[in-house]
Amino acid sequence: MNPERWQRIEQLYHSTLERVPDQRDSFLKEACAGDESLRVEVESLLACQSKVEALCESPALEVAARALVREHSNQHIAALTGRTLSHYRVLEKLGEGGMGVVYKALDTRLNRPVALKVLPSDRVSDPERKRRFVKEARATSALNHPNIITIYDIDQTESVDFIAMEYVAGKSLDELIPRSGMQLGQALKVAIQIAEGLSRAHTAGIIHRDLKPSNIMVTGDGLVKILDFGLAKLTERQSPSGPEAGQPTSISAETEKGTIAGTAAYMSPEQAEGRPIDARSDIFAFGSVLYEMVTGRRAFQGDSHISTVAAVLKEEPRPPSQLASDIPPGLERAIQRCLRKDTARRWQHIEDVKVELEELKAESDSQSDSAGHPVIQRHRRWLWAALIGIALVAAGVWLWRLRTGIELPPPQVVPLTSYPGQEHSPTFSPEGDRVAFSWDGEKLDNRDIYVKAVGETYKLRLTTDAAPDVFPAWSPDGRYIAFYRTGAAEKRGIYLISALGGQERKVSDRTLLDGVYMSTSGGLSWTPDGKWLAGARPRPAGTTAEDPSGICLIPVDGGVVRRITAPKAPLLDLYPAVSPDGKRIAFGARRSLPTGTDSQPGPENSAHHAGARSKLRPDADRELPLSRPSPSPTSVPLRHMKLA
Amino acid sequence: MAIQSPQEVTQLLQAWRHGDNAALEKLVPLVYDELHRLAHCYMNREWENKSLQTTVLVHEAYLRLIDASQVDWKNRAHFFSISASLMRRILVEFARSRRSQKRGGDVRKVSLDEAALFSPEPSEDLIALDAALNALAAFDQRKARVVELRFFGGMTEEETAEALGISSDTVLRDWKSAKLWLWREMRQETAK
Repeated sequence: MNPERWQRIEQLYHSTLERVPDQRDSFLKEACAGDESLRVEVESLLACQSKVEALCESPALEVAARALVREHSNQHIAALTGRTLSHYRVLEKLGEGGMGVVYKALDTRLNRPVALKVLPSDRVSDPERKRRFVKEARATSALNHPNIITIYDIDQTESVDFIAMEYVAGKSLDELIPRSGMQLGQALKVAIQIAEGLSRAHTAGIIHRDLKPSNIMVTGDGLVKILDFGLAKLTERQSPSGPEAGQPTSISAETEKGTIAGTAAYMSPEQAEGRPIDARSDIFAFGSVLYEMVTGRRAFQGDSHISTVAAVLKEEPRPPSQLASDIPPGLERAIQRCLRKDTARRWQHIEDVKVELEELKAESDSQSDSAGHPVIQRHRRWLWAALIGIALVAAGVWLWRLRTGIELPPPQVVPLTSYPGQEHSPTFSPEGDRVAFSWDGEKLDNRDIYVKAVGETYKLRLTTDAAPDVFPAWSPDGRYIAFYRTGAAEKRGIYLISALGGQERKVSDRTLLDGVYMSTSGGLSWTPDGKWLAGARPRPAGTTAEDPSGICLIPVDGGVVRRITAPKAPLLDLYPAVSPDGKRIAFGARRSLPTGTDSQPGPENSAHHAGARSKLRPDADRELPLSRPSPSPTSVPLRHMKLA
Repeated sequence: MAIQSPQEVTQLLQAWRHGDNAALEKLVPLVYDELHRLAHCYMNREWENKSLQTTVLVHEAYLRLIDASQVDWKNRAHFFSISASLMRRILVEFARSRRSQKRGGDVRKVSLDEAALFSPEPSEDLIALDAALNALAAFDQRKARVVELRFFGGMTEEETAEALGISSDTVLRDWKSAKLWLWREMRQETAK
């Protein structure tokens, strides 16, 4: 290449970098003045900016020494792959982090994939440290939250310490943040889930200590999983005064020992200074992560470890709105409040941050969604209640023939299930190849959600929680099943689970389920865009002050529940069903039952009885009506309303 | 081999500079010793915070190998230069020997992980860097020298400036420019 050409490339490279990110493209285009090959060349170099900068930054001696280390550890890794640790067969290496090497492995007992984190031996060699670590890992394993990676097991075998945990296919957040920052809605969606996970842990008294984008996984479905809770403890030195594991552990910042735990760029000032830390330290780290998500840049970043620490301690990051255009002032304030150096002036509880972010998300959604708030228009058109028999009929053909007036052969009833106990509320997958239902199990003691493929004997159990799970509802894209969890107050809520199984996620808390009518208020119905669930909120017993009852739309990805009908007592609105075009909701309206009873004959009870009676037993090739008018004299009049 | 005192290393370097090839043979194992020492430290500290600690370690290793305080000021610039090119020679040779050792070894044992060892990030590929640096020297001799002194010789901006008789600002500019050039060159080479 001729030197002039190179000079031009170089000059453009550096002057483009001096521009703010969103002006770079236009600047470069203009500067190249139609010289397309020049523009492409400079652009391709800009795309590797961080790698260019990293080039030759470590001296050659260090590079060569690292190659030796890599050689050594690769030999070690090759040795582990294919081996069996306890009852885990190591399949492949997934990655490597500050806390150990992670492998994909197969749990040969339960025949499920797991992620094995193999801990570096020198890290767990000190028995006291190990004891504290195991204690912490046990505490974390009890957390059980969809946004926290589930720990299955912690074990040692052949002098290898490892943690077996839930295997999640996804990417870590640091791979997902583009250089210009994430889209606002997406960033909030992820951030709210991180906050939910942290909130759960903080409630249990567990601090993460090393929250950073590489410790946050996002699955293909957008579900967030926080990894490595409390693992940073392994690299911490104990404070001289606080040997007890439950106490906040201070971290020595003595450089000669090289013992700073956590990652400098996301570390709170108190952590960097080695002062005792608490949950507010995680809030600071959360702020740093959120900052990076929306701006694409780290809140604190120096050229070296020391200067990064100095920035954490002394500098205020540039306001996010100066780096990205679409940041609402409320979000900027929320981030800045996470990042206050003084813990007393910071957010005190992650739950508060979460609520704030949820509101911001609801605002942002309603702005981006031009359809806006569903408009309620009631049409007093009476429809007849229909009960759907739950046996599998050759329904498609049958219906078609019914409509076209062709004479029908008697429908053949094919048993779908033949289990002991009761199977309830079946729902077809959109493709029609699978049916989800709730069943109280072999021992009739735990109602859970199951999925069964049509024509196959194998059934997949989706939920295992001791609380009863009812009313599965298949999402329009066929990927999720929403359901109600009843039972103990702290568990109650609407949950979402992948139709293939995995971790469930709470969509809405128990407010929708308070009161005695839950089991009679009907199931959930998805809007066709998969963003909302329609459900009926009952009227809690004895409430006089505020009546929350009515049909509600629950945002699937978190946010504010929208109540769209407000029936006047003693009327209740029940059984919401969203029309296939998403424009209307049909629902039932009826007089409420006396408090505490669920036995008065009514259509809903009939429905349940019908479900129980026809519970898919292979008892006969009898004719089964696909639909029929309600047999009850006190039928529920259905209404429908326009949504948009 | 026992760690040599800096004086001994410096004397060997100077002897080599004056044409004593036996001195080189004694120097190579010294550099290898430092390499293994460093690697050992990294392995023991691999899981702790890297950046701070290892900078100190590498700096100390370089100091043991190239200690300018033992050289009188008139010869310093030349000493820096000669040490850096010697380090380059030894380290690139080291990388080549590892590579050929791996390739010549038991073929059946080469797993995917090991294969990955042969195609590290460009920033970790000393052999590719060496070749790109030769190309840069033909294009801009001074920039190539800046990289040799800083990257292979482990020298500071000031020492580099001193060795080349230019200002620190120029060193910094050359450094930035050379890195961009090298990156582009190495990428083209990989693409071939």
